Amino acid sequence: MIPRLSIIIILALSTLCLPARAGSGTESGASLYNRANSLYAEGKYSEAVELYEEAISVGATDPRLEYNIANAYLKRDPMDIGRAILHYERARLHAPRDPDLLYNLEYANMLIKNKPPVAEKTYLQLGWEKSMSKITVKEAAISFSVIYFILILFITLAVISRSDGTTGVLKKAIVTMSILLVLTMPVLAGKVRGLSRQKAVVMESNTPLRSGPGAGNPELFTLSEGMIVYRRACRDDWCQASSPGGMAGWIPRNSIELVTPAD
Amino acid sequence: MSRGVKTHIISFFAVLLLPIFAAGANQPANGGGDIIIKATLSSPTAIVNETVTYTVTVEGENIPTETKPKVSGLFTDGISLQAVDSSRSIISGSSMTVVINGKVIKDDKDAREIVEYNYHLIAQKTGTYKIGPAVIRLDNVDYSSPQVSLRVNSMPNADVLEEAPSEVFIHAKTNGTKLWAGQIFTVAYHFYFRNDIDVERLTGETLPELDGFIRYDFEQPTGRPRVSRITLKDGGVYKRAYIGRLIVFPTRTGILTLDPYRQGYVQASQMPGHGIFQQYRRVERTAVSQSISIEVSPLPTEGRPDKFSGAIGDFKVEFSLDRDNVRTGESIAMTVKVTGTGNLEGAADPVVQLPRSIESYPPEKQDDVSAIESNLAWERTYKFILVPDKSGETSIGPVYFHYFDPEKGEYSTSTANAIKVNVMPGKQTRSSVENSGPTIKKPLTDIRYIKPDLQSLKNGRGFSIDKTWYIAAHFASLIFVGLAVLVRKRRDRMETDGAYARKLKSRDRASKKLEAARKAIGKSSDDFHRELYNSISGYISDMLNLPEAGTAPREFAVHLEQAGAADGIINEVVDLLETCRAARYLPGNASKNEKELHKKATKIIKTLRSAIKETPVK
Repeated sequence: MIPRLSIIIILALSTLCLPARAGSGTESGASLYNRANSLYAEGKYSEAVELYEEAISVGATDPRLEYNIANAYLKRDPMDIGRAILHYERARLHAPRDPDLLYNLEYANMLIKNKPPVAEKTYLQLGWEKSMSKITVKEAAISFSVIYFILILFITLAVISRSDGTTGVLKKAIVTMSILLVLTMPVLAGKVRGLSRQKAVVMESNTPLRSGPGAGNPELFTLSEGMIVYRRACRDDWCQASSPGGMAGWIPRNSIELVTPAD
Repeated sequence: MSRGVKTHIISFFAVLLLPIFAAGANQPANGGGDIIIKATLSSPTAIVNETVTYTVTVEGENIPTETKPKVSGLFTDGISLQAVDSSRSIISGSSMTVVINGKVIKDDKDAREIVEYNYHLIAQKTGTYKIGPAVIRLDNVDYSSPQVSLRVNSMPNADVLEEAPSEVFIHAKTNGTKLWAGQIFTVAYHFYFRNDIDVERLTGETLPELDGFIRYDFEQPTGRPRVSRITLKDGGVYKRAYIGRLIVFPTRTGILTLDPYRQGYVQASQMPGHGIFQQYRRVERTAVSQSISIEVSPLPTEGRPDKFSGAIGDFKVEFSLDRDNVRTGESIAMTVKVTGTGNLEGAADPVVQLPRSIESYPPEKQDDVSAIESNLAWERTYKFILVPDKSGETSIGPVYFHYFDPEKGEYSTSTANAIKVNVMPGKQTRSSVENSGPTIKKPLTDIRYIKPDLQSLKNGRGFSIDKTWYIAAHFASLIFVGLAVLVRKRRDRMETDGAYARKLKSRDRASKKLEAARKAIGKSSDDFHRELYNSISGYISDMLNLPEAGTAPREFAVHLEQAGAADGIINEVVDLLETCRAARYLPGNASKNEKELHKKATKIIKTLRSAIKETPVK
């Protein structure tokens, strides 16, 4: 009786273990992420980076993953400030108000050497940029759509309404929603425009920004690792890039990486 | 809401949505055309009165002829702009010139071209001049070239020699033969040839082998050497040309010898003959300079500061901060500049005194060096990032730079005084740092901790505004507004146009009466025929907007005829109406087959809708 029971228990346990074994070939992003977190906690930052990268390679795009890998890049020896800022920026696309992320990104930016001069901005421009940086494209799009569809509903009701009282109320609601829509529209347009500007991070230290596409062209100035640039046209192995300060030139294509990876 | 407003609503949304979705659908910007702007000098160095050409090259598509670059630094004292010219050349694509109605029109579509602007300058005074950047504005975008430096030196003076060692020779003149180890010195070379010697041109030169020296630069004049005539002290008449200057510094002490400089040249001499038969023989020869002995002394040990930088010359240190009010955890940019003349090659950084509560990062160093008369002029810039970790008033600096002054033969120190900084508690103040006094954490250990473990992670690229369904949903919703407008229009007409309302309702009303007639089949002959009669007469009255009561079957026939109905259907209508009336008012004429009659009435109503082509005008 006892041996028979043991066989049943073993078979039952084996059945329970089947899914785990089947999944071990392709470990989930969450599992890799959690293992990398353990390595990070033990101070094994390089090993943690490898596992976080593996989690990204299996398709995970979670901002928490991007944040953690950025931390690991900053912590490991030698520190990779370019990759750290790249992943913080990627995390910021989805979690722009995360206080930990903003704090660490500020720290990472502080470590960039030889920052270029930044063009002076008015309080209005600064305020606008700050507000824009606090919302995601998704949030802007959803806000716009919700207001838009409510406005459409109100207009539809106002058109078919028989009662003057109801029409009056609806007219006021339409005006209110139109104002909201007009206010939301530039935010969405700004975010869309922000997406179309190809934000990139300089991945190599002392990257020369040249006046033309080729190493023989004069060097305009040097970009440090971790600096943000906006990629423009590319020709062969060179891309036109401009810094937020307005300086523009050509840099080797492989010396930058896009914050929003190309399809 | 008026009809005009409704129409405009649709246009408003179309206009509102299109730019947003058009922007969303746009591929990432290519940044307009590729404009490449370069600026070069024909030579980075010049001697006073020499001509130098500053060339700005603009490469791109369809560069407007009238647009010219703006170049800063061309009108400074010491440089004279003599002339400007420009040229244009197509490097790819096509350029076509056509004549339309006598007007010459240039079609440069897709043509990539290079436009060169040449600024011919004359250096008038010694010094270093910054020229540029050259900025050209195309399509409201400024494209700028890098700034270039032009160093203008005076021609080194040559000694009036006692005697000539040979008919062609080189004289080397140094600015001193007693030096300190590491001190910069220059050797100017002049090419001498006797007045009657015909030196056609100079060929290659061989610089001295440097043993115990390090060469910093060898500066040569551009173009053909300028020749002047001089008389030596022994009465010999010679021609002289400045051919270059060597800038070196000794690395060893003791008596060092700088080897001769060798310069190749081609000498032409007359062969026997006269007039047009005169021939010249050309021989390539080498002229040699004297070697130079230098006595190099070691730097004195007496008075040597502990933190002597190793710099030899005359230097000054100064520094600045980008702010004097800062919060803990925020950064301060500190710029330290060491300027002066001499040798900073390999010199240590200035000594920056910082309080323990301020964390400093290794600085970025940048040199700007130019050769002046007999020395090197330096501007070395250090950029430090400082991060205070403790609030309160503190001082940054002083900054010291210890160097050796070769003129005075002693060590000197340049000092930049401290600057007070007010450090306020930061938003992200770490209480451990605040309370632990001078113990400073390394910033990298201060980043916030990683996010905790998770059950699942988000996958995929997530929301994208350029998804077709997102855009389509916004446009599709406008259909609701359109439908509402149609409903409203129909309702308004029904309320104001009775004939229209009757016509719309005619079928329903007829159907109801037919149904009532059907129910009366076999029960009440009177009811059946009345309802059947009313269904037909009511339908025709509604369709043609006739009074419902008091219209005789023959009158209906007339109206139907006016409405364009065919004779067949008119006869059927009249026949059916007459049958119903006879059944009701003439006893014994009741229909035998009520079901058949009902079917016939149903068919007539169906046929009438298409048979009545127009509603008579009332």
